[in-house]
Amino acid sequence: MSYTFDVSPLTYSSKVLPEINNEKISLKDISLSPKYGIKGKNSIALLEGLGVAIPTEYNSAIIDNDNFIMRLGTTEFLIDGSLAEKLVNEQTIDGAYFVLHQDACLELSGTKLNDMLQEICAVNFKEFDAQKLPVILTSMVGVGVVTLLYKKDGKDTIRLYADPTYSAYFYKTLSQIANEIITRE
Amino acid sequence: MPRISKQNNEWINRNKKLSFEFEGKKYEGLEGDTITSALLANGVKVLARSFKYHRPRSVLTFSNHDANIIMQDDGGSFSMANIRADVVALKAGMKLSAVNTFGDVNHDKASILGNFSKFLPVGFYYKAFHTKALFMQWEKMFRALTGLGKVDLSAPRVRTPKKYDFCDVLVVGGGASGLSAAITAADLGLDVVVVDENQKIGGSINYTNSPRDLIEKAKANSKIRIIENAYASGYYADNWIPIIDKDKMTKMRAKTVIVAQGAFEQPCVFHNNDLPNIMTMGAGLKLLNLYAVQTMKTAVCVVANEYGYEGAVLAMDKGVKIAAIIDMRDEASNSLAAQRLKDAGTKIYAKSCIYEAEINSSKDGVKSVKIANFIANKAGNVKAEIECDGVLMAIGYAPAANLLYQANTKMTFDEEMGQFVPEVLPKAVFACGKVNGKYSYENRVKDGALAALKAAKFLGQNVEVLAEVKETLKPNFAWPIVEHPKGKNFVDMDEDLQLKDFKNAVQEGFDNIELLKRYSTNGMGPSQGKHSNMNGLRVLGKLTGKKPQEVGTTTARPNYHPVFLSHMAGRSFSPERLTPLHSRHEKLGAVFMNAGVWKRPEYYANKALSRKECIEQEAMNIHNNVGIIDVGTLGKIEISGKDAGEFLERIYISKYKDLKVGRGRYGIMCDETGVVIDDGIIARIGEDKFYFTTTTSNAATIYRELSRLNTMWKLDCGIVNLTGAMGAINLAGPKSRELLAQVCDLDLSAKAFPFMGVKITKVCGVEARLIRAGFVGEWGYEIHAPANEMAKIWDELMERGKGMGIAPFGVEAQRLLRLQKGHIIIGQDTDGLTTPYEANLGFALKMDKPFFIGKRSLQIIAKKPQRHILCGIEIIGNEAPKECNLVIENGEIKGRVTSVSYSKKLNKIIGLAYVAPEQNKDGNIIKIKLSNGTMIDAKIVTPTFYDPSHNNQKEAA
Repeated sequence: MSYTFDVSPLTYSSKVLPEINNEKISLKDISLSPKYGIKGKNSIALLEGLGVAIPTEYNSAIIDNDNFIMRLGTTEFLIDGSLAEKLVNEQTIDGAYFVLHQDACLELSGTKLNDMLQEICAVNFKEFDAQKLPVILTSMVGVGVVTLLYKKDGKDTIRLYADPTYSAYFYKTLSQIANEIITRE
Repeated sequence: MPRISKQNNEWINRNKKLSFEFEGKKYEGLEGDTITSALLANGVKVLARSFKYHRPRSVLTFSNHDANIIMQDDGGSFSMANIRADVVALKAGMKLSAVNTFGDVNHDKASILGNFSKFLPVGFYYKAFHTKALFMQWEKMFRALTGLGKVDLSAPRVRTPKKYDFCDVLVVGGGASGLSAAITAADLGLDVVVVDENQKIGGSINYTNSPRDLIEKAKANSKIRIIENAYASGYYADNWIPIIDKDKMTKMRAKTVIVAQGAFEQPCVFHNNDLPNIMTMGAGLKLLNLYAVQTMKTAVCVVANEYGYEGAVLAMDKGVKIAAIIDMRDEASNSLAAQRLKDAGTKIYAKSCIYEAEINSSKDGVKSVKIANFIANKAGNVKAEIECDGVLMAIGYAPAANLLYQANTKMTFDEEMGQFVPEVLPKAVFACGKVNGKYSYENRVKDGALAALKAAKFLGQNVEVLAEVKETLKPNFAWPIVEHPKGKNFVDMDEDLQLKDFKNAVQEGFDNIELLKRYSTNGMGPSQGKHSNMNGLRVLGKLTGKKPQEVGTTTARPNYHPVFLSHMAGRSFSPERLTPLHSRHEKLGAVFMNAGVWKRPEYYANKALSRKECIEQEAMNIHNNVGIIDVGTLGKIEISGKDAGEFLERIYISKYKDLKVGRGRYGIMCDETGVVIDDGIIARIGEDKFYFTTTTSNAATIYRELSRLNTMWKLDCGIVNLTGAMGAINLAGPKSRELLAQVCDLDLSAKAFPFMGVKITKVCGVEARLIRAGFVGEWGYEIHAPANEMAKIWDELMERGKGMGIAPFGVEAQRLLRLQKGHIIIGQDTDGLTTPYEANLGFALKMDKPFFIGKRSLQIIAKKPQRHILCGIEIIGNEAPKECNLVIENGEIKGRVTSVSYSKKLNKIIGLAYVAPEQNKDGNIIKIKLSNGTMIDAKIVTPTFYDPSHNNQKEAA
């Protein structure tokens, strides 16, 4: 089974949607990297057995080179990066269940990041420290998302993982709001 | 002109003039003016007409509840209705007119209604509509006469942002107590938000002689965020407060809330108390100080507190001659303010009232007031008539406690104070200032600081909470109401309710605050009782011999102040899901339909054919060749673990532990009441692994529920939702096997891959899960694969199938094909009460299982007589009923049609319908009532219309 993406789930075609590159808001589609999910009571044992460093805190992440290892709950993990491609070929064990992740992933940043988040989500992201890599499962503009807040080039940046079938709507809606915020004032 | 010289704290910009129109005449206002202040500054006396009697009206409170001064603006790109002129900022180009007038505001023809007030008693609407025969006539008349403003139906849909915000302390009200609370809380390091409905924070500080330092301190404090021109429109659980500004709603989640909203100044009730230029003291002072507008040269002040005297002095200092102070209390004030007034020649009458106001000759204001003694709440003979052109009222307040009530604060009536005050506040909610019964500036400041300390303590700070503040001022007069034989002494100006209306309502038995409110409509107008509830309560108390505490108050529901519908709707997010094949469907000319949140091809358009012909052609192609449909919208769930079979047996009504690996079985899911809620195919893809589908619209709900049950049951299995990660297509038709054989290496013989067989193999080079299913009644395969690879499979099948006549088909063709087979659609052929027995699904019920969800209910239901049963119908004739048309027998409803369609293949109109069990006999004729009332006949048949022996699923011998 192939876990790399030729095309983004935003269109599932060769059509590429325009990114937003603005100092106030930057919105990028970074869906193409491979993803791996595992859940179940023995998921930690499985990952540890495979030598994968896992976050000790629930709802937090580790960034290991190009790999984002996110702990979604007590026993569920999402790994985004080259490591995912290796892991999908590994055998699982009893009590550890592979989760096929084909999520769209958007990266949001900019000086107006918090303003944007305040208009799309009920979570107070200001309460979280990007250095601690908080992983928050919430809803944005009506879509369930896994979010990871982190620092990129010293700036607060957030990754939003969403079900691929929602991603066209998700991207379009976020783009509209982002453009509105950029042109506001 | 009424505009006076520059004031120290005025809110207007004298350098920027704004042109506008009112009632067709051109005027100029200033930036910072409200519509009301601009009109008054231009000498306009009558701004509006009252609701019922169309009496001339102008400013009453100037505090966001001058409910009569509502206007229409035709100056924008669309006509805007119901603008509150007292608070809405003037804009250049406005073309304003008063609402609810017949003719212009100065010559309102409907003002004649005032002469017929005798015939418009309290509860008039109820009484009018009591006679059924006249209902329509009354309705027509009321619709013509009532209603405020005109909705412009061409107005665009305005999408507004909604914002979520958070703070430690939300202070509602930026007056003295609110600012004191905010500064104290901020100094303790708390994140504070102050919201104030006025243009600028400060409350009465802005127009009285109170010190201004709190305003400057609050503005300079970096821990305080100030939101002006916005209001908290309601209180919801867990300190969730919507804050409404002109552009949007902010959903504020506050850790603590300090309500410092102050109090609404109340009017005095006397004959003609509604004439233009009779207003609350606060209204007069705001106009003078903030907008530099002097509407009266000579004023009479009716007062019952010290504020009345102080206000009169402030007005006098701005140039208003105070002809008299009419103090309703037994003793007049001996304050410095009283002395200053006396020194200026103002007559002060204690134990007195305004008996009536006289209208001037131009019928647009006051000529004089008649004064009488006021003893034991009764007016004596008129003792003087005082010439004046305005009246300022300062007889007391009603606490602005709407948020507190909504937060479930227990309020009590403080007899000494003459006001409802909080007795028990809910957790995390605090009150201070006038709403808390503190009126002097010093006390309000102290009370604000105290509320902040309480909030800080609640948030875990180690602070010492100060002693409660004791107020000695008694600002509220117990009975500011003067009877008059001619009436027109208005208690509620929104609805033109006079004192006698209350008496009549109580006499008619509406002697409870809730009943009185609804019968009289007191407090039900646009100001929602802000100037009338307190007096209404006093009147009811007096008439029923009850104390205010016993009478109680009504609770204004959120939003207690009007909110634009556009603010509530916000951006109106409508999430939608697209399958991985969406771009393919677009290229093929799909006409999309909504299926839950999904966009699905309804059919594929062909310009040469009608919609019906397109659907028929798609269906026939499946019978004759091969069709392909995107079924990626199905819920797709995987369950693994040694208890996976056990889990499924508990969820579904059939058995699955005995299902062999590589086989699938139809599944029906019920809820605890035995009602069918979902169906799908359960495929065993490993010893401890099942893959199953749910209906399109139920996928998310079912997964959530299964996760909940899995947590609760603690079985050894894990559930994974693959709905979005996997795509699926159904390849169906007599040539489907031949086509599939070209793209996979599987033995596709019926023996190797039988009906309801399940295989995992590569299709078009993609690892896929195959199920030999027959939903559409022809040989076919469901092909499930990772979403990112679905297009590869679709494209290759479409390419290779060209020679076999492959064509895509949409939801409509699929619905027809499944109907031909009598396959039900959950939610269409079932409803919220349908059991498996009624839906003909008894074959799947395995009651010998120890447990499954709904079993207990189904055991009970099985013993009861069946209400109806789903059966097949063939329509006799050419007229097709609609889904939901009723099955009628002897005038009684026996059932309804759930699915119906013309089948070209069968050349019949076929359908499914619920009928009474006794009607369910093959060949029986039933009657169906069409939407137009015509009755048609239909024949009961076995619901499998097409290929009843399922030969299409068998290999030809």
